[in-house]
Amino acid sequence: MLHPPPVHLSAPSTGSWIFTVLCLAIFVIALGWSVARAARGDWLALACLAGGLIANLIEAELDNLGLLWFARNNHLIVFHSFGRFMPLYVTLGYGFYFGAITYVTLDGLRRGRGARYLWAIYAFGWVFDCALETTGSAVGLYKYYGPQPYNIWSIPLWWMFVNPALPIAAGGLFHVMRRRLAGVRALLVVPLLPMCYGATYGALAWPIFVALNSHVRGWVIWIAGTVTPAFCLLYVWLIITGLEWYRRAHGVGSVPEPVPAAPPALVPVSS
Amino acid sequence: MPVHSSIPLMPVRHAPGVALIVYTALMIAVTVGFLAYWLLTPAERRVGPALPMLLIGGALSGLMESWLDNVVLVGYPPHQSLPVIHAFNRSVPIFVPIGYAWFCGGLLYLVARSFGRGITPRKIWGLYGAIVVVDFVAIGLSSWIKILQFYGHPPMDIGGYPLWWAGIDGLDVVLGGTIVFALLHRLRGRRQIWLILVPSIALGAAAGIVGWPISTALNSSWSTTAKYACALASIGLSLAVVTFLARTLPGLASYLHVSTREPAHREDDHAPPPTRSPVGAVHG
Repeated sequence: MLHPPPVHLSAPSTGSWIFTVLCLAIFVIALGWSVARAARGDWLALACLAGGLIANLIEAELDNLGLLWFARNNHLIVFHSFGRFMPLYVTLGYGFYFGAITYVTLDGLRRGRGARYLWAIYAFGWVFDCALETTGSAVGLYKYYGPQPYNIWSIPLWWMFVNPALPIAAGGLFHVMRRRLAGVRALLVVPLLPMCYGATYGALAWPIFVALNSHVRGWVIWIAGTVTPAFCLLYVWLIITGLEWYRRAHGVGSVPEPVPAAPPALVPVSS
Repeated sequence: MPVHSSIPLMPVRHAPGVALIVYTALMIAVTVGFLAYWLLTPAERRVGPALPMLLIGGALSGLMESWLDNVVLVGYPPHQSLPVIHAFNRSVPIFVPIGYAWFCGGLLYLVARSFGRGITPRKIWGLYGAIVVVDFVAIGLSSWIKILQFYGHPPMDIGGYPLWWAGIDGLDVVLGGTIVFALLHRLRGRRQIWLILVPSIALGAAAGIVGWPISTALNSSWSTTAKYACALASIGLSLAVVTFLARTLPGLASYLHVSTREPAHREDDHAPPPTRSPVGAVHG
């Protein structure tokens, strides 16, 4: 194995509990907010939250590729895959980070928000992810290993560029598909969100994944660690530009759409 | 518990030298055939350097093979007579980037050109089916002559070719072809160099969309039943995306067709300056 994982990493018990409770608290807030939206007839927030939770199934594969190891003695392990043990706080984090931020993106688009708003969400996602992951890493719950480029505060920053790209991509897609997601078909968001997540990672992160796991010189890894964020920014720019183009073409957002959505029977469904 | 007990170990075996050379020669012949087709067909050359760019991009996307193999458990003999890329603890033979050139690059171009002549749901499904057959022959052949091996007891294994693999490769070409089709309306001349990026993006996206259920199952010591369920899920995701494309692409094509009826700026003529489409996008 080129870079063996730090299998002997031991998470402090108290730290693991506190971080789990912190993530649980944020998730409960997001859940409460989503339920409130559902009570008003908008089920997409709950569906996004559920989709985020399901997307967590991909994390083990990404950790295998991007060289991230969660201590095996973290509390409340949810599943075991790719030789890795996935703690509950990661699952919850996927729910509120990918699920809730995707819905916020979608909601903003429905309200006619433009490029500045979307870039602000991307920036918020970057900072939020960095703050959260730095905290968990500082506590010693997990470790990025191998020759990680841009490894600041024990967090490789290239990773921070990829994660917030998903809510922009998924929120944009759901906005364009909104008439196909009316009524009970809002449930389609549950599998669509992990699909978007997989597509985003597959398309953007492969240079650093391959470099980290190859016998190459350090500068090659640094180039790959630069190319991946560049891909991310290009990807987000293309999506935001495309959404602006879509808005001008369809007049969507020039007049804010009713939120929550109109009853399904009143929404024309295109086939 | 051993750290990687849920990840099946890659089998180690000797490389069949002659088979490796024959298969590599075959991949070279097909790739050269694509290039010759472009060189000898004036209509294709008028499109611009799109096909050569896609062949280069396809070859570059071969770099991704090692991580795909790592997650869906594909192995090669570790010691081979031909140059290799070594990553993810596996030696990837040279036929991979050469084969990727035509499969992940050239086929995207053919699909895009086919879409340019009109898009119907029937055509999209027909192309998807044809790609699956091509994939079965190309990947299946490499498996049958033992220069490549799917290990870890993959479900739906038919003669060394797991059917769910077709879900990834079929979607890759249709999705990538769609992207190329859209970009060919926007990129002219030297700007078609951007197409180099498309094959790797399309392959990564297709693998990310389709592959995660089956890759999770293969690397989790799950039961055979669970593996089959995940393989079906992966195939279902692929079919769902193609269904979506089949429903939406004819509309997109109509829009692109309308928007490109306006005079477009071309490098090889004296057309008026770039014009704006109804949505304000600049052509040319």
